[in-house]
Amino acid sequence: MRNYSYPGSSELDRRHFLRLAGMGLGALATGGITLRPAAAAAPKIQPTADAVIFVYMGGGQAAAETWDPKRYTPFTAGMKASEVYSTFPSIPTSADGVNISKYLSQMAKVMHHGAVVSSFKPGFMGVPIHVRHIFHLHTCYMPPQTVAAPSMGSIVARTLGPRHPDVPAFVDIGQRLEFPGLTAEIKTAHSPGFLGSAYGPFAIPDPATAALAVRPPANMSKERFEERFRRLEALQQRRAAAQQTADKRDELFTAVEGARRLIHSPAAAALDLSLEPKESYEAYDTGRFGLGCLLARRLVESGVRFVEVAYEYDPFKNWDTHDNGHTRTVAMKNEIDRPLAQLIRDLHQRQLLSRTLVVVASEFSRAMLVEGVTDDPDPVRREYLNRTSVKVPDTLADEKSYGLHRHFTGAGSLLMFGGGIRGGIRYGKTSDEPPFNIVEKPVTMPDLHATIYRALGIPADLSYEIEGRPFYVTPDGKGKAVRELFA
Amino acid sequence: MTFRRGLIALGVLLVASVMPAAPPPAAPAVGQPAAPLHINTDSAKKDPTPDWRTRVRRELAELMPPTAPAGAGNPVDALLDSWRKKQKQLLPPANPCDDRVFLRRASLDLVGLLPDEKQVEAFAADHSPTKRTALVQRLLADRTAYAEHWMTFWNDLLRNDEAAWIEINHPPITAWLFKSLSDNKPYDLFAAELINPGPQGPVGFIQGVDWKFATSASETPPMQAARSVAQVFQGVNLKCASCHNHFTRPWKLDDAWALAGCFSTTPLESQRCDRPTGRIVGPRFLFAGLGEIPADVPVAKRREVVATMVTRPRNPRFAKVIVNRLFKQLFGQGIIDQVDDFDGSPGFMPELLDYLAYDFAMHDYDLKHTLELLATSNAYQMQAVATVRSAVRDDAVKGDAEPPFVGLRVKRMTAEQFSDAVSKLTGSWRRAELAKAEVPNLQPRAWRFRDTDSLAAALGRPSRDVIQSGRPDGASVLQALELINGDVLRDHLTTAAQWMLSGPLGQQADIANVVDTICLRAYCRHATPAEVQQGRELLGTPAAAAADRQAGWEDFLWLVVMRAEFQYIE
Repeated sequence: MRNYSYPGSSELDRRHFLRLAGMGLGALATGGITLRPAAAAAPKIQPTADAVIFVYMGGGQAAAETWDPKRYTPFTAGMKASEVYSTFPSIPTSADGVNISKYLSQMAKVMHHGAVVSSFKPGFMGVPIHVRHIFHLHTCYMPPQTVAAPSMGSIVARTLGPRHPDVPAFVDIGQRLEFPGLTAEIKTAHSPGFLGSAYGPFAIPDPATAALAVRPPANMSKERFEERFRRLEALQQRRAAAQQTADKRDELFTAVEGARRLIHSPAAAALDLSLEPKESYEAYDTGRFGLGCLLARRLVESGVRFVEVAYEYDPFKNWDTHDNGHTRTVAMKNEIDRPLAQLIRDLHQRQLLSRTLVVVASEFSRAMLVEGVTDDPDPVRREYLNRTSVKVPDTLADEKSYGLHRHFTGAGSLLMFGGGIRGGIRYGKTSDEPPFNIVEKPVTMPDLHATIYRALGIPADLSYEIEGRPFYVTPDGKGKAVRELFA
Repeated sequence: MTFRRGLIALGVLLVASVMPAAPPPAAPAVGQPAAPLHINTDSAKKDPTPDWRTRVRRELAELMPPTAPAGAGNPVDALLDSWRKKQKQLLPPANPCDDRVFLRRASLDLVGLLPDEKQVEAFAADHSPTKRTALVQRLLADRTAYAEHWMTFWNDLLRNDEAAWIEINHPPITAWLFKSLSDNKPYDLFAAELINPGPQGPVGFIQGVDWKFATSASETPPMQAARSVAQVFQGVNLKCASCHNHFTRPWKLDDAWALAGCFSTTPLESQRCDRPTGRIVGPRFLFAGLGEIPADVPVAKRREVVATMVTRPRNPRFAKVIVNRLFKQLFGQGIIDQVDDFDGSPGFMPELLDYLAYDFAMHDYDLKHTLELLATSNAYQMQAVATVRSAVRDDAVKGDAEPPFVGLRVKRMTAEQFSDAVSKLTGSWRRAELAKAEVPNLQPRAWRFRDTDSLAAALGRPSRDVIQSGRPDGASVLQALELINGDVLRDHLTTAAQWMLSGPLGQQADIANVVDTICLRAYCRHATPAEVQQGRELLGTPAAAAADRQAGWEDFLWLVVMRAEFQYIE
């Protein structure tokens, strides 16, 4: 594996930096925070963002119920399923001509800072299985792959590193990777793949307890914890001192030193949400997701390069609304609206928004009657999908059936804020008739990734070598950044 | 018979790697009749397939062996010495490692476990000049420990996994694999059963993953079978060629599809990047000259023919690929370091590869024989080289150039070795959900854990949706954090401290002796004064308060396992 062709952030510089870090020079860690910009040496693409917050809405968020509202069709007992468009009225926002769905009133106030992309086109993989689309969203590659594909956060971590030498480059908030019933596929979507565990995510499944990740294990005093390091150092240095040349075994010691610096780094303080002023904490605190947004802001401030905040994927829960879609969506909107808007406001107020790209995305959207896409060429698969997907009655007897309950991959909505993105616009267009297919300017998965990479100054055809061949950050290097989205 | 003549005759094992430009690579010419073979009659008696073995031996007899290097010593050393003399740059002289390093190295490399303090003392007290050889033989004779250790390697390579996947539901081959390893099944039979398993056999490997619904054409089960067989047994990477002609290797699109045709119930039309080409190709094997594959027979019959073509002695790659993998497991570097790609570099010393491959075949494809040959060489008994080798390997090495061979390298423990080492050191074996495979109910060594916990993931246990032929051996901050304050190691050490305190070591008042025992188990050497001092400060005598002792023991054990001397195989 090697850096294949990346002309941007100088690899030489980065290696130099790593070597210094490898020598354990504490100097890099001391003093005020000097954050490294996205690309150190003259890059071909001028970065417009130094950091990314990637907000992932797990389970398939219905575009028509959130960022791309359609005609409001209120519930009446006995109404036809085919009559259901949006189950919410739309509301105007601070961006002229950009309406979003009701119960997102706080977000409506910040939309002038961002763009809605209505024409996101999830990949076509036949049957819309979550794990496949989650993998696709995170890696830009459709599974299965013959080599272990790295997730976007890992690619960014490998390419640019952290903005502060002592903090992790990539932090992954809110998605548990180990709980019963969840599959190994989720782990692969969040994995560093062939880049190796050094570029993997620093995982914070629950933001409320994030500080534990850099604290002594439970029941261990800070003194005892520090004492362990002192003792280890005493034993270790004896051996290291005897060595004159670079010794592979010292890598472990260096890594422990790095972990110890991390524990005392700005990121460690950022992980401790109890340090956040009460008022601000409460502004975010709608639960796990809300605190995840707060943590993301704190981490970006401390020098993390790439933060993912998941509204966790948990089968049949969260945005995976197979029943009671309307009611459940109200609750979830209440959970996301305030903290997401606060995140944008805070970043703006701290003058970080202009260099921080915030993306809100989901693996696919939802529709009332269509599973997958309408134009699936395979009749056998169409029949299979209709047979196996959630049953939608022809007429809705009760509110349990009122909502968009099927997996729809024909179109989806994204939000993008800051980091060079134009504010106050809606990009692309979907039909006003169900299932709301794209009619203008589709943004494919490679295009979405290319756009994020472009903001960071990373070309879409950057590649890393694995097994003697180049692995591009977008398939075949062909992702096209959406230029119109940039200011 | 000269060494050179032997090599020409053994062109078998060379043609494809030195002349990759002529696809499909021609099979080698048959060598001149050779001297009568030495047949290992012991294994002949045990071999359950006399017809197979007779045929293989007859074919081997038709090949001329590379001449064994002169001298009475281990041929591996003779060959390496001759190679070393030819190097322009003099390599730094290697010094033999001491006994305790050797004991620890051989134990971890061959059975994946640390020796206990009694074994360390006994080995030190043994003055027999052949004790190292005897040790290697004793380790390899421990069928169960050997099998448990090598399960990790083979599970990675054969992508056998019992973790919960939605889409990957191919039947695990764990039980078959475990039995094959503990029986030390001859490797040609082992491979043949994987390629042509029969209904009761290890079907998971060749069946691959039947991905639900649409996937790219290159992921159909027959193509997966072709890719797996090519990569694992032939050192041929067909991943690129399953979509288009390979850019830097001799493999064409149709070579991959022709091999896939061997595993398909229906004739296959090749597809270039998911577009049908209109050509029905194959069934055909990678290398010509090894026989024909009939198209009009059931797929089981075709698999049987492929199994023979892959494993027969005249196949250029089969033996070389596996002995190279074994070499890398022991020495930390392959003769061809890119162990899955034999179409690039011929290796730092092709003659050594040829010798090992031929010798392996001559010993009825006995994996333990080759491991013994390697582990009893002087080269394996030298002090390990610890120079840093960049994880980004090509910083120093471009293209197909082989990284310089400097001797046996210091290796990092795998996730499984580390977990088992902590268990063995403390006597407290971790509990976790086990793979369901029906294997003997033994101490739960970490290979059996069904899921990859956060510590195992940080230490490099891979997700097995793709073939993995090696583990990373670098250290990272995220890894260190997991070791410093992760739940998995913390819980293990908490339980371990409780266990040890309630056992004989916990009752001892002589702390120096306790520390010494722990160091013997962890590092195979006696404690240093510094370690004894730390022990005195942390472990406390049986008279001390129970809570203090518990914490002190946890801290001490943590210190022990966090040392590089513990986590590396020197």
